[in-house]
Amino acid sequence: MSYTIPLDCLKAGESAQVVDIDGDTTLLTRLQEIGLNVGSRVRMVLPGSPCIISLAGNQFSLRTDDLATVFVEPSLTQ
Amino acid sequence: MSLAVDRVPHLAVVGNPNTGKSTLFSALTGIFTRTGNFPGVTVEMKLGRLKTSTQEAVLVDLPGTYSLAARSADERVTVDVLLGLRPEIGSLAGALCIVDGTNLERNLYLFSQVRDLGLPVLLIVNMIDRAEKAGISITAPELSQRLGVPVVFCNAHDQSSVALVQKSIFEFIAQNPPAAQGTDLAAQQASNSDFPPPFETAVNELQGLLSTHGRKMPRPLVSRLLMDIDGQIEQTEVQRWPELSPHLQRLREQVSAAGYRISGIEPRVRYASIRKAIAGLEIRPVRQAGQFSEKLDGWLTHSVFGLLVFIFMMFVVFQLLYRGAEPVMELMETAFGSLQDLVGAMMPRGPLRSLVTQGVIAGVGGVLVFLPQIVLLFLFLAILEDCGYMARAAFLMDRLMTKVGLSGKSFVPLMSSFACAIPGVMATRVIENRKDRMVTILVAPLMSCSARLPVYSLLIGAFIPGVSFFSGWVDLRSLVLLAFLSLGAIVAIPVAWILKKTIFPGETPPFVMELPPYKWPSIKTVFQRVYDRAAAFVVRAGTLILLTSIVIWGLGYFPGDHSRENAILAEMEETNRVSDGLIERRDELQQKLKGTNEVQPSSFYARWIRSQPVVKRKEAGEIPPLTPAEIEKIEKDLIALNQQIKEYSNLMEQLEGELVPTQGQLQENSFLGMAGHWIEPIVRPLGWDWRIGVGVLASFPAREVIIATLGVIYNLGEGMEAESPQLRDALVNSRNPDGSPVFTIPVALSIMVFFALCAQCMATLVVVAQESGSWKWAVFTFVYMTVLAYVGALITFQVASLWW
Repeated sequence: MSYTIPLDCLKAGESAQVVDIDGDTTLLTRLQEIGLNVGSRVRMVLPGSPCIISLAGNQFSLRTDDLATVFVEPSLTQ
Repeated sequence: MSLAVDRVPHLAVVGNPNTGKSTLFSALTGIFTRTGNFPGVTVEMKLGRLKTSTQEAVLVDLPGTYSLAARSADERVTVDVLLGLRPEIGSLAGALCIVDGTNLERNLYLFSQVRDLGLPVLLIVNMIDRAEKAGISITAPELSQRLGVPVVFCNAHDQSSVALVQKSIFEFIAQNPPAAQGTDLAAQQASNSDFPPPFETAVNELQGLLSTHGRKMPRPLVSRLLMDIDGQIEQTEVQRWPELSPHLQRLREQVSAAGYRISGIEPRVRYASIRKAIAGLEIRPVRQAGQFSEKLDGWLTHSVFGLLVFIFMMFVVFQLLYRGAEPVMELMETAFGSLQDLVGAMMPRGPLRSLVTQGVIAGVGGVLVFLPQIVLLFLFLAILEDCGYMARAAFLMDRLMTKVGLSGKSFVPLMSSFACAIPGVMATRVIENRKDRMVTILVAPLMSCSARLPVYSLLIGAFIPGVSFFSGWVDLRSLVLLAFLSLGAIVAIPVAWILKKTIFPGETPPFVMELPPYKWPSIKTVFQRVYDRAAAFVVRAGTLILLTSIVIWGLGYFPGDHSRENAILAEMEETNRVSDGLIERRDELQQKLKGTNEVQPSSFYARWIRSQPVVKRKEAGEIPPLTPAEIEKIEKDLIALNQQIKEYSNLMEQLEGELVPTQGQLQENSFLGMAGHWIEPIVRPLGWDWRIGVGVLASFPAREVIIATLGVIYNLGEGMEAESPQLRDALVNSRNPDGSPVFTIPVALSIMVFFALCAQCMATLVVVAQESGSWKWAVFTFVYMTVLAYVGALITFQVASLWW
């Protein structure tokens, strides 16, 4: 049983796997360049706008607003 | 270019941000590097020499980036340098790609882009110690096998590791001689491309299309043109040849129709091939460093506590900035003053001397005095940046900045502008969004810099009553000062908003920024950053400022007849010389007179020496007592001398009294003075007379010049300080021809509002031109701020006149 939510709905400390990214091409490319890909694992460090996420051990601050939505599948093991 | 064969091989250094690229670069090349500037863009590229006893290479350090997809002119430069298209660098022997061993997947993305440009690439896997701890289990030869390029593992903090990298670089150069590599990248075919055949077909077709229209473009660039939708390459190429747009659209649709959606094709293709290449190598993210950082972040990025820490930090930085820089600035001012005197004494009077002392030395000195402040500010910024705090500050401020359509990255440059707009404008380089960066550059000069302070303190001291409230805790003057200090920032909010809506339209840019782990700042990195910035300021701004200072000097000096002024000055110098001689003689005599009573007879030694013969007493350093007749003569001489000195001092005063109106007259009749009279009808509605008009015109190079100019115009002579009571009184007592005072509270307020909002600072305008890449924007800044200042001063004067 898995469910998909937007990245900004993750709570602090929750981990998830990226299942889909949608929105403005330029921004999408930029997100992928920093390693936010379908299949990447992310952890929410500080929710909000902007939020802080942890991606493969690196911290990124992110505010994508209406330009892009990152859909994730929270890990149940967390 | 066949020259490439003979010269020292040049290698580009590329890598993601926070991969230790700078550390490795300075470990390889040493501290002193040359910063290459590119006309029209602001990319900083450092050139350093890599040397052994027998071999030499030049490393070109390109800005850290995640990708070569060019979204701005600045990013495009990186691609052009790699392709050997920038004449400043020329063709490259190869590229060194530095990647973070703990995050291979993401880092190899840039590597695969660089490799596809057709350059030989040496892959340097940095932070290998941490990667090994995290469980990476591959050797350099194995990785080299998988990726098809030479690989060297490295730990930039380890000397022996750096030596190994150096050895590998020279081996790499030997394997890829520049001659064999050739410069004809344009003819290169996609040999082992990861991209699907329909894409490559489209690239071929596009390249053919372009070349039939007279545009020979390297194949890798054509490939980027096709996949970077609406990127910088597309924008410039379409500008060159507008019919390109439909062709591009057709080709992109053609690739999409073949089953490969062009949007996002690059990350899909590259990550797929990277994952295949490093399959089985995935390592667990390193946590040791991350965990401490995360804990600290819990506090420092907290919406309340983090903000408090931030405010406290800024408070400390500003305190140190004002207090730390002030003594050095004063010292420099004194030094330039003495230099003026020294050079003045060596040259004959006349226009040339005036040009050198008043134009060149005063002009350059006026700019260089800001250097201590700039260096200090960059020192703080470099420390905060290198330890990782700056990214957090930008994160904290993002919420605030989005309200005017900017992102958190604009905050630090704007804050720096409170000390001085020059480093502030230069600090906008961290903003990668071009529109954002432009808006930030254009509003930065509105922030109240330290040069406005002397103007405020003079006028507030003269015209704002020293009333205090709350039993002396708050006084009116400091409240008014605070109001003026915040005025620019308050006005900047609507200005930024309007600029964002009109000239630089676009949504609030997305904010994607890496928060590097906290670490101790490296002295080397900090030093280098400060040195680069300071050197850039001195060299770039200095030349143009010198030119403008000379022009303004000329406008203030000509076409007046300076013979009367020179005659007075000559007489003053002569008077001074004679009077100095007299004073010396008087001091000598006084000493002689005093010497007789020098040793008091109360001491045992004195009583003993008095009993000795004259010769012995002379040896002991005591002058024998003078005879009463001698004393009488000396006293007589002294009276005569004092009389003469007094006469000369009266003469001096008289000369000065003549000089000052003469200088004032000259100033009034100079081109500048004429302009002052000419603009009087324009400044009248602000409550100003022609003299204030001249002051404002003359202070175009720098705001604080108005103090010296007012000093001259109000016949007080140059060298007036904002604090000098004479100037203050002169302002208060100055009268219009009809007897009404020139300066009233509304006039003072109007001048202060004008100076708060105007762009009277040449150095800033020069830097705006340099950083925005065009003089157009400097002119724009000057015009919009002057209009704003004029309207602001007009409203202030008209409204304030209703009360006073």
